[in-house]
Amino acid sequence: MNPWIRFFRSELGLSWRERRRVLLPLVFFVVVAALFPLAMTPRPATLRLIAPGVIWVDVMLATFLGLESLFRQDYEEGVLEQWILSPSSLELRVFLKVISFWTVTSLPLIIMSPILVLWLSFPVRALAVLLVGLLLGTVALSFLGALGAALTVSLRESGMLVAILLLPVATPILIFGAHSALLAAARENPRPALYLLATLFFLTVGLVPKAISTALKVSYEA
Amino acid sequence: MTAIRLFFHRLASPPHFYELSKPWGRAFAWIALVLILVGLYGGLWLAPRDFQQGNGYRIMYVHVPSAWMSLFVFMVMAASAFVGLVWRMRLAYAVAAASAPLGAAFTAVALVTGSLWGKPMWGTYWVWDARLTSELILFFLYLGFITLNRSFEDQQTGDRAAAILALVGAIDVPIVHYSVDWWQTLHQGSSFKGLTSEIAPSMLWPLLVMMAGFMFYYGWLVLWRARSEILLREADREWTRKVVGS
Amino acid sequence: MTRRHQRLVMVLLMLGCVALAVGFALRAFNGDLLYYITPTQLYDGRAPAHGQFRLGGIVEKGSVRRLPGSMTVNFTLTDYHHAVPVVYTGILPDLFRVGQGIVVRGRMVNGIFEATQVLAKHGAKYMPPGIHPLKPSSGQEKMLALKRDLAGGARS
Repeated sequence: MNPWIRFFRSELGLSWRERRRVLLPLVFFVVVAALFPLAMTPRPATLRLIAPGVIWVDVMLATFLGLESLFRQDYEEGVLEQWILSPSSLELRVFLKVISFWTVTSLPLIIMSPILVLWLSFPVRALAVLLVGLLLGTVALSFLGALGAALTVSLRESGMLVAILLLPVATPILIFGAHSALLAAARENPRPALYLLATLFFLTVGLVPKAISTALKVSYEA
Repeated sequence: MTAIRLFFHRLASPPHFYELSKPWGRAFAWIALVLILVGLYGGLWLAPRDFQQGNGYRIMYVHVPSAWMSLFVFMVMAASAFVGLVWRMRLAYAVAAASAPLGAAFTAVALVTGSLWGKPMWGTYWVWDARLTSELILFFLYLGFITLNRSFEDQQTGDRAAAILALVGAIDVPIVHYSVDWWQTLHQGSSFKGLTSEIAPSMLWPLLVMMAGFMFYYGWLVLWRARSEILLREADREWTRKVVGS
Repeated sequence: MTRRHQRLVMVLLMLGCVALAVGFALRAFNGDLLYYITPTQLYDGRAPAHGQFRLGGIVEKGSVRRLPGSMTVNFTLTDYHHAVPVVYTGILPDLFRVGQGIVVRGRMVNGIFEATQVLAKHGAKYMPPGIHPLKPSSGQEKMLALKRDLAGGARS
């Protein structure tokens, strides 16, 4: 078997074995979404308007909080050191690790989101656009979240810090993501927003793994 | 050619920089003081009223230079972050760390004066338009840089981690600006289009003087702050002990 | 795979991603990106069926009427093809005047645009009073200038 496929599968298995990591973001996601109708009016017209924004902000926070400790264990156990010293590409390793993590934590959020959409009286006809947007957006957000985790890997408590660092950087993803769903709900053309989301997706996937590996090297060399 | 290379090589050495920065900083401070006083006099007394906005537009003599500096300082920060990461130059990190709070302050001033200007002109203190929003995001990025820089026990780790953030941010700021612009726009178009300007000359010159004044003001403060940043980073060196005198 | 080989593949993948990103950005620009609509577009039925939207136009001459004893103002927004009556209650911005390009936010109710927010869009020009290098232009030209201004802001 190709060593990279083996690496991906073992990463997937490791993440999956830690159920807490899978379940916590999911529970967080659902609970936070349920708070909005309680905090605002439960009027369907209002909820429909805020639904995409609520789901997108919620997904963003769940992703960043879930990813915060992505490299922590590898750092503490010295696995990271081996990765950095190994002749094979650190970028590719980082890429596969983030994708495996995305599969285990973000994919369940996306699968869960249609239910939340119903809670928030979001029109079902716009569901497809919302899901495509979430698919592109959560991958991009995962890479940004991993960058935050890599920058703060040697710090003990970093949850809030990661959020402060990354939320401003992630605003374009939020804007295009939530707006595409909002446009689709208003029977307008969501394509430009989705295309721009795809632009951000490819930019993050292409460039951020490099930044993550540099950040990991910085933490290790210190 | 060799003279120039020698100059930069020597400038990059911390003790030399420490020595040089004192007279330079002092000179910058005086130039800044003169320029800002002249600019304020020109902007607040000499420049005529605007045909549409009356006297209200005069806030631009503070607002425009601050907004411009907020971007300029971020560029300086990202450039020194890059130099630091690639050539591992401690001085570059000191400059980046010294710039961040100044940039944050310029951004805050631009945000506040922009809001005050917005109320009479647009009818609201705040609109979520491209410039205001990206300026706000820029402010958050500065705060993130400062926090990250100071989060590590080892200053070098903090410097390098924050440098990566600054580079990511530098790519991100134009994207943020565009994304919010797409999202909704209201702010007026840029008054500077290439080299020609649509501001009347009698109103333009104080603005340019103010901008130059702000540049020198930043130059003075960044040298002054970089001096202490460099002492912090070189605390264990012989020359530092000599300078501090203990 | 040697290390050099691997590095080459990585760089190529990175460039591929950036190229795809540029491609999608170009596609997005080809679609029309609207954030305010003109009265003509409103008449063509391009306004969203529900909720608020933004309407951009010029305040028509002689159309501004204030209801005595209240903060309510009636005026007409035009793009010189179609005109839309607007009603607004509240303080108008300083730059609100006849012939000025403004953007209003609100909804259509029985053929009248009920504005919840009036926003003046001042041009990027600063001139002393008295000097008017731009002659008071015809309405058509002004509308064109407004369009260019708003579109320019969108692209910058």
